[in-house]
Amino acid sequence: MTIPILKLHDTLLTSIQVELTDDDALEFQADVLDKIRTTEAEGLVIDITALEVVDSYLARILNDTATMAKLLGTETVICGMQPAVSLTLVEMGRQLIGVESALNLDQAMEKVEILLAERANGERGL
Amino acid sequence: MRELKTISISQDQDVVAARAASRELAKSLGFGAADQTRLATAVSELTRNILRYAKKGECHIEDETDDLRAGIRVVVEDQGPGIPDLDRAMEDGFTTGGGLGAGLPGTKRLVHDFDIQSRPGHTKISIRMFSKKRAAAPKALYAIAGRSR
Amino acid sequence: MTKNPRAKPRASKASSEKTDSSVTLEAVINSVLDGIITIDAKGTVETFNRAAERIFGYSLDEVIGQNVKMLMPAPFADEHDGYLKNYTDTGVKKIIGIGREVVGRRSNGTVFPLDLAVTEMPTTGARKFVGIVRDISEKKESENLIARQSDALMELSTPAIKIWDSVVLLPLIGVIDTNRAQQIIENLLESVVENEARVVIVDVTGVPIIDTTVAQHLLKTIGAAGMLGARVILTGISPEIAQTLVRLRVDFSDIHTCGTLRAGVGEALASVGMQVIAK
Repeated sequence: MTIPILKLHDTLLTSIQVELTDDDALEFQADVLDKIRTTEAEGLVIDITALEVVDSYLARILNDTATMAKLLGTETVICGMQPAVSLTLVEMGRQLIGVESALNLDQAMEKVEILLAERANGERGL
Repeated sequence: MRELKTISISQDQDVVAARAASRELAKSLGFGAADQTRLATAVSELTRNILRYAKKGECHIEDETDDLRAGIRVVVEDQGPGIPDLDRAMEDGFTTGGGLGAGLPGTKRLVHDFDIQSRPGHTKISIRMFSKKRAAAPKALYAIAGRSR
Repeated sequence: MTKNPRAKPRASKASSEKTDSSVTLEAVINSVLDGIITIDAKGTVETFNRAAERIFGYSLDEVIGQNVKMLMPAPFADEHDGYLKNYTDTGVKKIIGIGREVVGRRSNGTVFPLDLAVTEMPTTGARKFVGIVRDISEKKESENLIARQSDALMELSTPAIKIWDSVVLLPLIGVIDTNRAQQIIENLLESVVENEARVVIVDVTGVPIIDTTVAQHLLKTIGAAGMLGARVILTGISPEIAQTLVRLRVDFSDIHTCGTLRAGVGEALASVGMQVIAK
């Protein structure tokens, strides 16, 4: 199953609306990275508002995707994590590390802008 | 009266199904969102472990609600190679991602009750979740066998 | 029973002894606070003591000869016959000999919680059962009250406060155990979502002891808020606590801290584009 990835200005926007199997998640990661490569997008927003369950595997995939995107020169923001999901991840000790997050799409787009601006100003070592 | 659902775990989608089924039951029994998510996540972790290490197994989801409180038990069982060093696997801080039994301490923290038995050829993990609120009215007068006050 | 009429005093003494002892027994049964009800294998009430009359609001005559299910609300009333039959047929004890909390129904229709203990009477003939009931309405009321107060107290003591648009303050006070820690994180996350907070100030000035456990709770709280997009500033760490944390080798390196709440608030406001200017 393919998760649609849209492009808004220089930022890729993708929203996970359904529960993913492990294979789906891997496919998603590959698609995202591929899209980054072909569009040369500088920003990536992954919206997980609809996900009621994020287990350690998916958390790792999301984390890895952000890290991989960074290597490709893209700043990632993950938005919409449900409080119950956040609670569960910290309790398991599997929280996202080194990944920017935002409450919603609005804040996510803002954050991407800020991250890109900081990078342009050389404020964050790459 | 005790609802029991068994999901056979042999492929990717089964993990998702087990996750969804346990979440559904928790929701229908009145568990809060946080507990629903915790249970579903725990079930996801455990059933995935089956796929990874035993290739196949079973997930039994049972309604253990009684007069005093809502309850769910999920038993995850397989005939796989087992977890070699169980004590170490259950030690907090042991291995993150990769490695047999990885993530068990974390999963244990999500639920109210966690029981694990493992030897080569058979692994059985039983987790339980209880609702803190007492049931509004007792469900059945005599339905629970041998249950004492 | 004596055959000799002239031995009347002895007979009457014997029978009055017997009468005395049965009167005593009956007096005992009618004076205890707990309801005592006996039924036959079909559920027909055979005896019903004074306390039972009081508990259920029925007089003896209204209940004797009736089925005991009249004292139960639906759906238990309908199911009782089945349960009795099940036990008499299979002998499987589900409540016999085992006490439990059930629900009863008074004559005025009100439903109330009961503590019920059922045993089978040793008889040579037909089977009989004895039920001892205690009205636990008050006890349940108290239990509920305590539970509610405890919850309220828990919530009151862990408030997350919006102090400015997008800025939430979490002043931690007192001892933080696992239960409370759970509540704290849940409250905070709820508050972050509700207030669309971008910055959370966690102030620990009021936390006397920060050991490894509390430190872990703190880290979890900070991590959880972070995943909802909120930047967390930790304030109020005393020199003593700072020493403890470092000695415990707890890793706070990724956490942003400010010495005082004042500094924390200043920074929080700055990060949401606000500036405090003297008038």
